[in-house]
Amino acid sequence: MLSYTLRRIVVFVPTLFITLTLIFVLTRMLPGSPVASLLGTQLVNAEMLDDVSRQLGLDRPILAQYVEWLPRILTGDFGQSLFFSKPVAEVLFERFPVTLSLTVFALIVTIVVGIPLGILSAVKRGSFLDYLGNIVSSFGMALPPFWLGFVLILVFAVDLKWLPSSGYRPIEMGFWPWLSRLILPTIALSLSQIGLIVRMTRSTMLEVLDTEYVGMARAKGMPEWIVIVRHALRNAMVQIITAIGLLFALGLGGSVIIEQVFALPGLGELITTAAIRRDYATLEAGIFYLTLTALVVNLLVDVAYAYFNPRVRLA
Amino acid sequence: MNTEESGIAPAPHLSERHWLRWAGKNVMLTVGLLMLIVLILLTVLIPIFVHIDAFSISAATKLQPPSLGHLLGTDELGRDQMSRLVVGASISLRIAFAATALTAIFGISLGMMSGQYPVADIVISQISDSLLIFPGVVLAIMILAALGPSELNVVIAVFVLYVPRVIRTVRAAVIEYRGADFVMAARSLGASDLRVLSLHIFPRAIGPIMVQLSLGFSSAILVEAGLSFLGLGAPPPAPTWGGMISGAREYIRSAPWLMIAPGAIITYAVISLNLIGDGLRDMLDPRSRSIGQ
Amino acid sequence: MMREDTLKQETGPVLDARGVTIAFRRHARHVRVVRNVDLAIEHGEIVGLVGESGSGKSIFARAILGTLPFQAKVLEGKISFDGQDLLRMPRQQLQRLRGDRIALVPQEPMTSLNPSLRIGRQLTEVLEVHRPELQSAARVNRAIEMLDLVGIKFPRERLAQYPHQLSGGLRQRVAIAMGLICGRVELLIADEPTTALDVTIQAQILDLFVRLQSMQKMSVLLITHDLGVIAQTVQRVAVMYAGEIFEKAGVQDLFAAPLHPYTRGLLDSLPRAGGAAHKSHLPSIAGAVPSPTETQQGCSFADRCSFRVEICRQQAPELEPAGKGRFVRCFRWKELAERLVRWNAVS
Repeated sequence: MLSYTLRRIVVFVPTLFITLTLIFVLTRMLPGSPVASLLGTQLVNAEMLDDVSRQLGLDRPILAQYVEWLPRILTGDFGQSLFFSKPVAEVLFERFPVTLSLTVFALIVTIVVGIPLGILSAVKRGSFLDYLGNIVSSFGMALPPFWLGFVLILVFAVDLKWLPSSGYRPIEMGFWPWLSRLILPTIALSLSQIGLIVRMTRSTMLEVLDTEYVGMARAKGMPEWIVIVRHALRNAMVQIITAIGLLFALGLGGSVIIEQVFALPGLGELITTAAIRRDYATLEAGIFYLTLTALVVNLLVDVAYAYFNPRVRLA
Repeated sequence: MNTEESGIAPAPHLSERHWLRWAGKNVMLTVGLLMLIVLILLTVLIPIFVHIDAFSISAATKLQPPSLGHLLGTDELGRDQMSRLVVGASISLRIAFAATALTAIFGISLGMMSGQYPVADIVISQISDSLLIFPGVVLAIMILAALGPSELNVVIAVFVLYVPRVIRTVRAAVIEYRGADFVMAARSLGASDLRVLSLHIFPRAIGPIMVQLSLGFSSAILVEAGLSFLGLGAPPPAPTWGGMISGAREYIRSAPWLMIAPGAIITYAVISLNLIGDGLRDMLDPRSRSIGQ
Repeated sequence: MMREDTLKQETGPVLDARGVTIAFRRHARHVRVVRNVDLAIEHGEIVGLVGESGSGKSIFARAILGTLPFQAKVLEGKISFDGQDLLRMPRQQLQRLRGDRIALVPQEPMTSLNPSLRIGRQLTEVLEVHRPELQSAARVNRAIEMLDLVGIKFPRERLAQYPHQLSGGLRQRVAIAMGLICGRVELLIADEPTTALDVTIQAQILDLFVRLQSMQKMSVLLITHDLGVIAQTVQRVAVMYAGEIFEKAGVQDLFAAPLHPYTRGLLDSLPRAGGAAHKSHLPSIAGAVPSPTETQQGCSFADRCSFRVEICRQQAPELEPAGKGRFVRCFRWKELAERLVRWNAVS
């Protein structure tokens, strides 16, 4: 088990490296200089541009920039943002809990709602419930999440006034203020995830329910609920756990847009704004942080998978 | 009486009844295709028959609810909502189609190379897997931040987002069939790698690939909408569906119709493509059906 | 009339199937895969059910157990087990019988055990359900006893292992142990129990069956396509083809004088040493089993039968008694029996 974990960590490293390189390459491929963006519509001359460029180290050859940049990033020094007055690392630190609250909450809702629905759909295959589950999950996956967010705001915040429409309150300021602002965004974010997990659970369960050993369990006279839980579900869980890792990554990606809709000051909103403003330092940092989170979760899922499925440990 | 013992079935006659029965058996696929065809036809035909103007600004007619003159109302700049949706449809469909076509071409070829040649595999897989690490649209955002918002760049961003998945699927299929008997038989007759890949492996792998491409098409529409919503899509005055939703934010109370229509049509388009994808999947693997059996 | 449980009838067969017809629902049509099957098994008897793949024998077995796939439906018939009709029993009651008084030994030992549970657990859970009066320690001991009974060495160690750590033969023995563990089996259904195993292991497993059967005094329904297995193990045989029973007889009678052309064909196609050595090729029955979707008027074997006459294509023969507890479904069995006697006398 230990050696498997170590091997997974070792594989992690080149992937991280390539990811960082990709981030670097993509953010530096600029048709427009960030300096001009920052200086905005002020009248600038070439000299001013050069000045600021030199300050930011943007005038050196690209390879030199890379060599200087890489170790910096790895030690967490993301530099100073052109737009915020504080170090980028600090900004990230403030915003991370917001995104984390949203994504984790959405994941929990997805698991709690989606997996039982998927199991039911498989067990009662062909029934009205199955059909209904299929329709609901298809619909859920087709709705653009940001649009759903607005519709929810319209109905629950504007018309019914049950919940606040936007903003974020850290949990220190009270449980309900924190929670109430997360409910609508979580629904918007999790609906498509629920659709996905219902389908995956259903198809995995169907596969498993079809196996010889499940048939054998029935032939032994095991009550149906034991067959479903101890024999079918137990073997399906392995694949479902993998799906959860996937879902978390999707949630992180989706949070980028949802945060915009609900004005949640999280990493996603930071990334989007930075992208539009060409604030490269912040953009890099935000993406790196987000991606690193996804990588770590992936690693944990891999390890958990190996725990439940001993045969994989040799891989 | 089994006079047809030899097992050769009579040739199917392609009458309407035959098609109707096929449609009955593949409900999802049929409905999805019909929905998509309706959408495409409307996009193409409406401008021919009705005067479409997605761009004229008129302060006098701004924020009007749906009426005979403007079937879906007008936006904050007085532009006709319906026209904008129609033009937006052609934008979204174009982008999604182009991205999917590119994904298909590169995804299949790279996937096959990756599955067949270990050296290529290391390079292609590593890059492809690294691209998959970026959660969701983050990668697309990065690319658009680098290249700048435009229709072409959105196509490129969506392409980069999805091509790793297709590469993976194709690669898996190639690896699965590599050691199969029919491949060994073909090789023993002297078939080259290219021949084996294209004539023997590809036809068998086409099923899952088609399913993935059609689902990719629907995802492309959603992604493009999201990117336009964020302001990273085709720049104004192009009437993108996502951009329309973004613009309608401010007027959510005063003019809710501006918000409803674009979202509804995105949902419609995505559902139709998902139905096609699911229908294809059911056609290939009837065991997973929930209806119709 | 729902009797709760064990009023065992000592007289009468332990299993009595009459007129059983089973169909699959396909595209709003019913495809019959088991047609009007009668089969009776006496207490302590080993009966073989022989047929090719697709003959319906496995489906019939599943109907007895009540584990038919969801597309399958019993259209007609009755299956009495100790006097109670299994087909009309409430599900709970049937589930209590399964694994306790009616047990199954499955075909695929490699996949019949739950890969994520230890062997011991898979054994003791049967006891938990059917013998709740046993305590945990008693259950474990019984599991060890059973593993020993089926010839597994180091049974205590095996309890903690996972299925993937055992070979196919061992897994099959575990499956047999699982079937017998409650100790009250009256009918053991073995569905192709040796098909997936090596020949040497096959012999050991079959031997085990015979020993267990006489020890536990249970009835066995042995389903197989392999006539060699039949010859070694069973007392009576029923031959099944395309969902119908073609012939029923004692095993010696069947092999000495097969009455149905299909049975003749099966026996002729067995490779034999000595006498058959002068034949240049192995005879086989031309043609293929008809698909259940093609409904036919006459005898389902007519197209492949070298003895067919006109009536064979027009009418379906009934199962007729042929003396000495034998039954045949063929219009010409009497003629063929006479021919056989003459032929045997000559050669």
